[in-house]
Amino acid sequence: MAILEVKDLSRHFGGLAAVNKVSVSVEEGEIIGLIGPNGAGKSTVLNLIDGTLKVSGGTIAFRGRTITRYPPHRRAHLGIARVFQKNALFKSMTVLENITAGAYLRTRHGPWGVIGHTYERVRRQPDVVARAQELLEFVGLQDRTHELCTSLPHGSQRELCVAVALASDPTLLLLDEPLTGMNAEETDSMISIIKSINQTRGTTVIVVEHNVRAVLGLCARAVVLNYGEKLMEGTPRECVADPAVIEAYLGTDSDVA
Amino acid sequence: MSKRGAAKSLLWVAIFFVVIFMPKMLGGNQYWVTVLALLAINVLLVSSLRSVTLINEISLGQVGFVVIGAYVHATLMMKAHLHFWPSLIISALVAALIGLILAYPFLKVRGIYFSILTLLTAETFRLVAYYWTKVTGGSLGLTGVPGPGKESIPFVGVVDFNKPGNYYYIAIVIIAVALLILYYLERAYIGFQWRAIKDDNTLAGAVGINVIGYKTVNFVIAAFMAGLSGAVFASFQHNLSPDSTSRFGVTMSIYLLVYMVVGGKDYFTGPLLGTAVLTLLSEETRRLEQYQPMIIGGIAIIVMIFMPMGLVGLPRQFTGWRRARKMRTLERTAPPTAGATGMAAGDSPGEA
Amino acid sequence: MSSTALWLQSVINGIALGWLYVLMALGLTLILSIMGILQLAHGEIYMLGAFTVYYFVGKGVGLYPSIAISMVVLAVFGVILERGLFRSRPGRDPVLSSIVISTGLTLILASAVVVGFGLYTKSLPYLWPGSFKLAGATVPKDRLVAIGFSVVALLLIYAFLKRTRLGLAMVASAQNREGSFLKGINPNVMSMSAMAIGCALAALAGTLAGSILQIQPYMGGLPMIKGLVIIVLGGLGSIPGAVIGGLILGLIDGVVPVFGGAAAAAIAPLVIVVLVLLFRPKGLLGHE
Repeated sequence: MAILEVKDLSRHFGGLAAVNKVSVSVEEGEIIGLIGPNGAGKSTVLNLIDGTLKVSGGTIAFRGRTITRYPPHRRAHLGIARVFQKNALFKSMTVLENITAGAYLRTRHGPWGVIGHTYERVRRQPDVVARAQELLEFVGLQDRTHELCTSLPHGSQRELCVAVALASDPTLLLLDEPLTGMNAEETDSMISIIKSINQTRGTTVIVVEHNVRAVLGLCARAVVLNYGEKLMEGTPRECVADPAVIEAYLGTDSDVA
Repeated sequence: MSKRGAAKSLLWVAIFFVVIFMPKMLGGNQYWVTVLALLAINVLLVSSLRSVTLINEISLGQVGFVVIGAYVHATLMMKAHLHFWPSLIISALVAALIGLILAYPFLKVRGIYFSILTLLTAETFRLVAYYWTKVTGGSLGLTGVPGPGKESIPFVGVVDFNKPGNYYYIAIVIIAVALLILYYLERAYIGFQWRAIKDDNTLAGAVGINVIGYKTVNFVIAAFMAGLSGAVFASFQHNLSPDSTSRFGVTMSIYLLVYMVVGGKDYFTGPLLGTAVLTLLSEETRRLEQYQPMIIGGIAIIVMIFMPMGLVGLPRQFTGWRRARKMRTLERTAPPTAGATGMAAGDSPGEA
Repeated sequence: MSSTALWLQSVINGIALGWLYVLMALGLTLILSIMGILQLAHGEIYMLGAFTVYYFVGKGVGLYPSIAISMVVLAVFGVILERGLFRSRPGRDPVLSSIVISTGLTLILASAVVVGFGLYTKSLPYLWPGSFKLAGATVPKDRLVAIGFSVVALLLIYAFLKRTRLGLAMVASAQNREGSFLKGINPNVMSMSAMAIGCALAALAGTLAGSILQIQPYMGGLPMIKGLVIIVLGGLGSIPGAVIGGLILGLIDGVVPVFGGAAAAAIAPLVIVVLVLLFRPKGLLGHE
């Protein structure tokens, strides 16, 4: 069953089409990669799917519901979560606070709860505690619970970003270049985290990545973008072997592993 | 309770007693009671300004809501003959409503432009008050705004609350309640959402927080508090004047900002301390009236550059300095280690 | 005076006023878009420009040389302010600190002038004494001088911005601050130039206005508000927007009071701004 249907998605900036009539259909439970050279519009597509950018044309449907005009928080309510390209974290907060913030949608509070409950009381709700603990262990940050997130090394911050996104228990996870700036060890760690997310939780994942080798190991399917348009889609192996794709990559300065 | 906690509670009890008995201590000196009452009103106003900084915006337009609160309260009491307390609440609610209407377009605009907009809007409200002579008395001002009148208090007898000395207590009670509400909200779950929005409002949206919604609530609450302070002011002062040097003008917005920064915008008690210190300073320098704006302006700049955390944040600034100095001396005495991050003071020289 | 004459007079007043607003708004836009700060003391620079001329005229220097001196003095003053106060430091919130510092500056400068020169209004010599008749209306000649100076100043600035390397860099900076830093444009040079030009323009506007009207220590407050209205109306970061916005506002301020009353004149621009922002949050010609 297609969990996400993107039809003729377009986004213009001034006269320039950053994304031009891209259509993708994502099946529930799969990991799909979005690859392409620099500036191909991959991050823009993610921005359009999660609502950070407004759509210029086309439609997006999630589980049958048309969400094209929904603001980001409404899409989050439906189960879409996003990990941003740069380390987006709540900078004044500790690791635990970050995860608790991410779990906003899963904390129990009525409409007046935000005023009625103190932060402490919410934080101590048993299922919030359990979820936070589980996520911390999942990404391996349980020893750093009360540290300020800004004092973590880059790789750990990325893992925290993933944990924050998972805190809302999403059905669809959008990962924007999760492996940037990571060494080999951190890359492997992140890849296994992503695999685990997909296998143990059944979360559908869309990964935007430069590192094509990682995509080969991770994704069942890949979509290649170039200049804002869909070049082809297929298994990662097919995509990498395709002459048009190779030309698109070689024509620009990006790394083909 | 920890030693620090006990010390803090003791401080609050002391403040409580000082506040209650201040008028008696001053020997019924009308002038100082007036100063203190106005100080309390200003504290609420500055706190409303600080409340907006919780969502990382600076509203230079709180005085606009003061205008609304003051004039609506005056009109309701004088023309509609409402009693003091309902009129007070309704005026604050009207200010909050206007805040709600303005919030939607304003909160779409970021940073500095939001501040400019709030400034311009407050000026508009003041000008409306200035020119709408029929309703507000125009440039001549509005006189004769009544106070709460006489009330009979058990054990004390009949108290005339129109007198500044007694109105002082009403003002203190109202403002204390309002401040408690603001304090509580900051610690409530909604305060946590505001913090998330302040830290990274895109991420906040991505985790499902309705950013514009929560920002609106914050702005509306701030408008309510500012309007409330205006209404309390109106019944205290009995005269309202909308000219540019009054409490409704841009100059007042400037002073509010300075009070907040000097006290410390990151702390709830910042507005209290900043307003108190600068008000007392202004009183002491009455003789130098010409130089007063210069002094206040100078203080503002000095605080902003050298004590950005304000007076309340001074202890933390000191510990920060001491820590930085300690690190520097450690760096000088410790030998260079190959790639290690730790700096143990006990390292002996010559270790690789 | 006939109705046409009244119209003509108010339109010309409006245009003169508008051009002065343009000078203010231009300076503010440059400072706001290049430095990213809100310089709330800009109105005081305007006022200081007028008072500097007053000072030199009092010492026997002619009006026009005094104007030139005043522009240079205030430009230098602006650069000093930039280097001393407004330069951003790491860890400091630029928005809050610029607002607080410039408001502190406003208080200091205005009260300094009160202490130095007294509260009462004073006059500057006429730009061009006398008036002439145009279609039944009496038009004071100094309005024309004001318009003339403003237009010349604007053309010079335009040429500078479009023809010189520094100018082009400034335009790039104004439209996209971060992008231009990446291209190697030195932000400090940009900021100093923006302050220098902005303050010189404000000083000129203050002098012209001061000569047409009168000068007093608090004369900077209202033009500051007008300047803010214009940059919001004309668009954020847009220099042409500042010009167009200024002229529109000038016309409104010139014409509406005569026909609609002072109340409408004071409120109309602000209401227009709020309405414009509701539908075009970036202003009429805004960028970012």
